[in-house]
Amino acid sequence: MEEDKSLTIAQKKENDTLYITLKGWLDPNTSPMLVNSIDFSDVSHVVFDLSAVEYVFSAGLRAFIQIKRTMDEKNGSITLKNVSPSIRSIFEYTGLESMLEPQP
Amino acid sequence: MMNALRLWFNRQSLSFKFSILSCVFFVLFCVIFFMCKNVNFFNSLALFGVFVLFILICIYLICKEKKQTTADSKSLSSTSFSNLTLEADNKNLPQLFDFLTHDMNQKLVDKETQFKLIMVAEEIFSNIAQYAYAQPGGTVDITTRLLAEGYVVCFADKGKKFNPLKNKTPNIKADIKDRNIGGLGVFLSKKLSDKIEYTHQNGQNILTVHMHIKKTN
Repeated sequence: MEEDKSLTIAQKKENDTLYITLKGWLDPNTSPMLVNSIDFSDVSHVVFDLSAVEYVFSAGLRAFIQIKRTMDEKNGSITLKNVSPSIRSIFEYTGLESMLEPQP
Repeated sequence: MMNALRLWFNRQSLSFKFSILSCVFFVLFCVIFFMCKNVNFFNSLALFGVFVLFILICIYLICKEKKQTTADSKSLSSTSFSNLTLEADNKNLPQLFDFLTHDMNQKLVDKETQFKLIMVAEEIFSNIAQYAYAQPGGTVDITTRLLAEGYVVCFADKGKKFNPLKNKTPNIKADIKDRNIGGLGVFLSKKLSDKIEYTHQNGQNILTVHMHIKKTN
């Protein structure tokens, strides 16, 4: 089966929580797309579902750092859910595991 | 049924065919032997000797064939290289991933190594795309080789002379507020590859990535 290589972003807002489901990968082309797609107004929590994400390259890590900083400034939170073991290892190698706490 | 059996038999290796045939002949031989009236210790010993001889010939043939197959795959793999030239532009990343994934699948590279290599390849390629050329239109040559020690990928560009491996290592223990957002790509590439080298030859920056592999069957 041919895999979908672009990034698909699906967003759903419930009260002050924004649920974002991603599919594809986060590279220098798609990561800015992700950051720009989020409307942070009236949002205190951002929950990402990464179950369909194949790769998070350094550009993707930078995007998560940026979103985390924005949420920290607002005293909000960011949660990364359904992160595959190989992608979790990327967070671990770069010392971002303790800050972004990617969950299996 | 007989046809299927014949097809299956034709597909087997020479040594396997020999083993099967010798077993069949041996069983026939035993049947004839025990049908004879004068069975004693000496002709039983002779029969056992013939059996051992068959087994030894089979083992010898199988070992010889296995050695030949390994030698063949080694000589084939050391020469099996693939090459792709792409314009140094991040829009070509999917093309790069397609090429590498297809090549690694063909060369039976395991999935864990494939993941790491794609991660490293993206970081190197996007680095070249961003910094190597002042003008658009520059290219990157990607060459892959499967050697006895692993899978090797070379990235060559004719951009300005630059060794990304000399970049300062980012402080990965820094707090998120103080976290320097750059330098992560090169850091990850070093971490994920087994060996990564830089040379400058004939006006080209050449980055060579070595990955040890567990071959999938």
